[in-house]
Amino acid sequence: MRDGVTSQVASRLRRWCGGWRLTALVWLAFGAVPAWLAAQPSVLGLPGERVPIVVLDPGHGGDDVGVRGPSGLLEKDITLQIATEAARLIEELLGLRAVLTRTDDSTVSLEARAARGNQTGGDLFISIHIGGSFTPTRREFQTYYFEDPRGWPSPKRTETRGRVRPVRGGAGQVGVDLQPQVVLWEEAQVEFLDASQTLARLLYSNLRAQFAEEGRGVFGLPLLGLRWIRMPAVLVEFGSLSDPTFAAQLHDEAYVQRAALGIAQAVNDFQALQR
Amino acid sequence: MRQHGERWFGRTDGSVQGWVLVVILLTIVGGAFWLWIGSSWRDGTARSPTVREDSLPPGEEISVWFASPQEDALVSEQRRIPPGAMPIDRAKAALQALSAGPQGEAVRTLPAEAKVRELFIDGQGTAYVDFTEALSRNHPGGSWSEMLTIRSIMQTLAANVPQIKHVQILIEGREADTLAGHIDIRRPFATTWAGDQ
Repeated sequence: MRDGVTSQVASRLRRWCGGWRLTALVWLAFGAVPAWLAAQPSVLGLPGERVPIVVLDPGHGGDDVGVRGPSGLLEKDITLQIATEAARLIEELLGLRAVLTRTDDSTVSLEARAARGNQTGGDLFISIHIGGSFTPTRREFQTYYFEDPRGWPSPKRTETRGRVRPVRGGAGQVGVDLQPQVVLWEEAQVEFLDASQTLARLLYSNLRAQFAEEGRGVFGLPLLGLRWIRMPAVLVEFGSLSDPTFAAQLHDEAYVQRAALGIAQAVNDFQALQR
Repeated sequence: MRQHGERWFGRTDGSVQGWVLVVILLTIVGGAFWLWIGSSWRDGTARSPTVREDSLPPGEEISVWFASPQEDALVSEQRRIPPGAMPIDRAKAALQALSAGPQGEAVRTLPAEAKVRELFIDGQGTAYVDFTEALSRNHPGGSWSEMLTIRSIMQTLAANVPQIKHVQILIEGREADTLAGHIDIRRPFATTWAGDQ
């Protein structure tokens, strides 16, 4: 009797699981669900287990070459080298996840870079640039955070707090403690001004240590590429490619290595402050 | 025997030839002097550095702001423009001199090819300055250089036309996002913005 029931259940199960249903179960069990959980870790209520994401933004690219050095060296190539190396160090040494806004010589608009950074749900955004000048004047590195002397389109928005989603290019929409209000795309950086300034200062001090020289300083500017970023965001500008002496340094891999190490150490210091 | 009453231009009298020569010479000298004065006025800068100040033609002085040799501040140079210029002409002359570049050790902040297409000052003191595309296309790039370019434009306008309180930069008649990919220029800046100097 008991064997009969068992065999009946087993038979029904075999029939039900046959064909497309079995395929779907396997796909759900080993593919879609783990992937979704990995992408939405906060849903599990285990924020401590989430691996922080650092978004690295190699400036310019594709048709937009950036600054052109006297020997033909292009800003877009150097920024990609530094960002790629920094990403490797951040993942291997710090155990964090690094995401690049471009991984090859492609044209990516400022808006698309911000959207990519926001969509990954990144925790930090670092934009990497090389300076330029009308003359071969030497210029030290600088770090920047967002600051607009013109204020914000709607001042009352500066009081907005809480994890909410930007209108465009927003962070993940599931799992964050959504508030009824929305953050305007133009004001995505409002909530992170203080943290961005802290990150800019940490980056500056770490680069100063790496290069064993004074930089030009830490500054606030209305940089469009940072305005739309919904996380602590900074921009670093290394020297001036119009300066032949500096351009010659960039041919040396050691410079790229130091720059990348300075970025990775700043990320580590910032993470330590957040704990 | 020479007959009187001939047409005067047909005369071969030596005294007439002398007068004609004098007139021609005066015309040449006068024309050269006029051209020299005219060129000095037109660009407001054409005087040679060796010309003494007291020999300059009279006119109004304007200040043009460039980057310091270390590019860590703005420094001014003086130029002269014709007296009695309207505010909009002062503004245009000042920006033209800014584009022409410094005469001393200062560093230029605008590409030499960049020209002002049009300039308009509204009733609220906002100057809309429309540049040719060269301002963006020939800019060397970089956040710092863009900041110097924007600040030098604003400082030059504010120093010479006090009624200008804000500046909106346009490229080929349109608002642009940035000059070379960095600073947001979609809205007017107050001329009091000190940047990060």
